[in-house]
This record gives sequence, C-alpha cells and structure tokens, in this order.
Amino acid sequence: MSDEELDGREPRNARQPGSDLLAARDGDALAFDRLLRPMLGKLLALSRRLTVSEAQAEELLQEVLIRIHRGLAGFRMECSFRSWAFSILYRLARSPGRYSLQSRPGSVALDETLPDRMDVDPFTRVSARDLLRRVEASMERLPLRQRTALHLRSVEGWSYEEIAVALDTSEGSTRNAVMHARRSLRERLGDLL
Amino acid sequence: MSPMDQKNQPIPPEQARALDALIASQTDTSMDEAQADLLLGFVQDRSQDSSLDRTKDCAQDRTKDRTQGRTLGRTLDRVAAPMLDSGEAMAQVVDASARVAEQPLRFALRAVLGLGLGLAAAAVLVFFILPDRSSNSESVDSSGVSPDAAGPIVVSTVGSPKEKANDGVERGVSTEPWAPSAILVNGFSRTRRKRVPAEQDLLAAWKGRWIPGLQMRELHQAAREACAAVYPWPLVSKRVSRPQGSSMRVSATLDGLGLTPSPGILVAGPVASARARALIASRWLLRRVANGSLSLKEIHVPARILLASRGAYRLRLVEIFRKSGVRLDRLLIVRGRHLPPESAELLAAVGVESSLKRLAKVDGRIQGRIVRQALLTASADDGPRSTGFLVDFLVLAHRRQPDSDRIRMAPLAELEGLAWQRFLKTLEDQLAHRARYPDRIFLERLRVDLVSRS
Repeated sequence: MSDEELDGREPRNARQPGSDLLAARDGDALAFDRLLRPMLGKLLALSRRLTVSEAQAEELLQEVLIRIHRGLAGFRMECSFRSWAFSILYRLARSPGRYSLQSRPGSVALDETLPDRMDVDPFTRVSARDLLRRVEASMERLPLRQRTALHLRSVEGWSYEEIAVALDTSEGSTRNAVMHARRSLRERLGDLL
Repeated sequence: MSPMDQKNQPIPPEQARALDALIASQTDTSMDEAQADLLLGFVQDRSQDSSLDRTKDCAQDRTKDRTQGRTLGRTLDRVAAPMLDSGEAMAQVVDASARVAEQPLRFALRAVLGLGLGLAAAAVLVFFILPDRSSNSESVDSSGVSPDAAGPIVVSTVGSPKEKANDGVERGVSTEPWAPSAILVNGFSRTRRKRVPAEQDLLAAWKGRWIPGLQMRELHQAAREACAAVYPWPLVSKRVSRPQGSSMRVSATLDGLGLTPSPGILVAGPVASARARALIASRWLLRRVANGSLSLKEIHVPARILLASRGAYRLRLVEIFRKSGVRLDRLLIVRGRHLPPESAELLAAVGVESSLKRLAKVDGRIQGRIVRQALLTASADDGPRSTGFLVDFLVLAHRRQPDSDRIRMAPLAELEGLAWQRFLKTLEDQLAHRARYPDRIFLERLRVDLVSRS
C-alpha cells in the first residue's frame, strides 16, 4: 500500500478514467449522477469557504455543475476529474465581481438562524459557534489562492501536485501558498493549537 | 527573538497537523440528499435543453479544432455553427473544414463562396418566407401607443396602409426558439434569456429556499417588481397606466394624509395576494440589505409601501422592518444638514430609537409628515416604539421652537383609543427618565393636555 493510500489520500493511479466518467462523457445521465454525487458536499464546502454567504455558495456550486456538464465532453483526462472540477470552482470564484470573497465588517450572515432545539448545553453551543467563527474569520482573511490551497490540503487531504493542477500553478508555488496560509493562521489561532 | 523572526519560523509538522485537524473539524463537507437530488435534477433538466446540446456540440468542435491547430477552420466553425439550419450550402462549408490543412487557399475560396451562398439563402428565407408566416399575425405598433392607454395597443397590419411600408420587416423579436432571428451569436436563444421564473419558485426563494436556476439578480428584480405592484404609483415611470383586466382594483384614496403626489388622485388598492407577495418580497429585500448584499438605498423600495399603508398591513410591514436586522439609524448618518424626507418618515413609521442629538438631522420643516407617520403606526395597534419616537421628536421640536403650542396640540388631535393610552404611558415613562428641566416641563404640560382632553 502506498504512502498516499495510508494517508487516506487519492492514489496516483486515480487518474485512470473510471467507467462512470467515460459513460458520463458519452451522455449517460445516471453515470453523471454517480460521478458527481459523492463530490457535491466537498464542492459545496469549498464554495462556502470562498464566498461570504450560503446563498452565494449555492449559486457558485450550481454554476460549477453546469460548467462541468457542459465541458465534460471536452474533458481530456490530462488530470483527475476532481482536480478538473475543483479548478472550475476556483476559476469561477476568483472571476472578478461575481462573488464577494470577503464579508463586510460588521455584517451578519443571513443564514445564521437561531437553533430550533436547545438540546445542547447553551455554553457548549456558544463555545462551538465561537470556535467556528474564529476559524472561518481567520480563513476569510487569507488570499483566495492560499485559502483554496490550504482547504484542499487540510480538509480534502490532496497532494501538493494535485492542488497545483486545480489552481493552475506549480507545485512549488502551491507548497509556498500552503506554508504562508499556515503561518497566518498560526498567528491568529495559535492559542487553540 | 523578534516578532518578525517568530513569524517567519517554519511550522513544525505536529503544529501543521494540529492546524489541519482544526480546520477540517470546523468544515462541513456533507450535503443533504434532498438538496443533492434537486441540484443534480436541475442539471439534468438543463441537459435536455436543446440549446445546451447545441452549445456542447460547438464546444466539442472547438476542442477538436484546437487540437488540430486549425485557426481558419475554427473561425469558420464559429461563424457557421449558428447558421447550420439556414441551408445546405453552409453545411457543406463546415464539412469541408477537415480539408483546410491540405489546400488552404482553395479551401478559403470555397469557404467564402459557400458563406456567400449561405447568406443569400438566409436572405431569401427572411424576405420571402418569414413575411408570409407573420403577415396574418398581430404585431405591436410602437408608434400607436397612446400615453393614456391602459396598455400597448395591438394593431393588425393586415390590409392596412402600413402593410406595404412594413413589407418584409418582422417587428419585434421572434418567439420561436430556433428561428434565425431568435439565435444570438453565442448560440443561446433569446427566449431562454427572457425566461420568466415561475411564481412558486420566486415565493419559495424569497422565503429562503434554494431554487436551482434562479439567479440573485432575477430574484432582486422580481422583488422590486412585486413591491412596485402594490405601490400606489409607479416607481420608475411617472405615467400612471394599468393593464386592463388585471387584478388591481381602484379602491381608495390616500386623502388627508398628504401622501399622494397630487391630492385626489385615485390609487390602486392591490388585492390580498399581491399584498402578501409584496410582504414576502420586502422581507427578502430587507434581509439582503441587512446581510450587506444590497445597499441601504434598497430599503426605499419596501419603505414606499410602508409609508402609504395603514392598519394591519402596516403593522406587518413595520414588524418586517424591525426584525430584518437593518440598522435604520444608519440613515441618520448623512453628510447634508438634513435627512431626506422619505428617510425621516421611514424612521418615524418604524419608530427608530436614537439619541436626540442624532435625531436633530430630521428636518423640522416636514414635522407634520413625520408626526403623521408615527401616528399611523401607533394607530395600527403598534407597541410603544412608535409613540417613543413621537415623544422624542416632539421634545426635539420643542427645543427648536419652545414657544409654539401647535407642536404640542398637533398630535393630540389625532390620538384615539389604545394609541392615546400608549402615548400617555410613554409620556409618563419619559418624564421619569428625562434629566433636562425644560424637557420635563414640556412633557408635563403635554401630559396635562392629554389627560384634560380625555
């Protein structure tokens, strides 16, 4: 078993096109569903990370799926499908003026609603929410490339090589972006480590 | 070690792992199955749209050409793709694109000839076939629209003197999906661009549900239109025109309030469904403003409905404004000397709590309008907030004109029932808290007047 498989990451031979991918390219709707469904949550997580509101994240994800569907026939399989899908998301998110990448100071997200049930200790709930807010705020202050690179590395567990493909940059540059992102976060969240 | 050195220190692996674990633990990568079904279903629906297939075909062809590095073939393909339906000549040109590398000059010549033939065929189609199809149809005569008419006048051109003058010219945009005039350069149909969102989708989206395919700008535009539909006079156009047979009915005049543009004009009272729709749209707009997605100026769209409403409907709107989270006191931060009248009236209608120092921006010259707005909300069985604003504003007016009795008596004449009781209670509360002696004297005299009037 390779090191990457031990780390829970996608092995290098994951670039081999799966049968679902080939069928989806030929227009099989069910194969497209099977191909995309496991990735939806991950794509939505990165969308949330790159936009300021839930509505924008959902809109971005929808746009990404449409682009994937349109471009699947032209996908040349020079990289893994997930790299390609996430690269579409990254490109769309950074296109100027489409999505707000940083929330305005003092604004409160609309999606933040009061809980329906209070079955958890209020203190625990508030602490968890504060922690979430701190992490989100710290991530939000990172530049888009660093934010995406760090998310793909820490949450998705991707290799630097694959992240570089998704961000359309070199592997060294990706390592640099992740390192700078970690340093920035260490400054802001150092007390939690 | 200096802070800069500390910052540039490499991150130990265990610290990096801890950081990664922290980020991963605070990230939700799951998605609701229902939401996933909705989303994938939407994408599949879009795939059945013929325009998407057409776009995909063009994309495939472009990719093929890019691989082969045939610039001329790609250009021809892009030009020819939307015109494929026009005639056989164009299809032949596209088919010949594969031979472009072997004999470029010869191919270019044939391509130009083929393109000319294709254009000629399209011209014949437009001049001889399309007029026959549209000659018996009705078209809108833009020159014949009367400014006083309820809607655009539909003029039949059959047999009219204008028929000859318009011969061969199709008015407006064809509504057939793949008619030549309905295809844009990028391969999308005009009809798809003009697609109107379904009513239930709009309502669901305004209520917070995510509807795939609905863009924010569509929602925004529809929300503005929903508000404008119940607004007594048009937001954009000054001309008052209503479609015949619509659900609007003339029901009331807003006389006596001084709210109509010119007194005595009949205004349309919308039916319940339009009013409910406007409420939902207003709430969505205000939440977007509170969220920072829209500018504060957008609140004037629902504000205009609020200022012209009464009774229970007014109370619902006031509640929506208060619960939306929009900080209305930000309206008081203006560069000029005075607040715009509409903003001042909105503050009064909602009953914004603010310091007297900031309220000083409210223009004293329109105090009658401001007091009326606060009274309308108070009369609509509102709580103490509107009466609180009223008392604050009266105190402010008294400071500006200490000798004017009219200031004291103006609101008292219109207070009735519960609103009177609430106002009295607010006065007594304020009396207990006001520290400035002249203000206390004024409030005491106001209270005496109020009690004696009962």
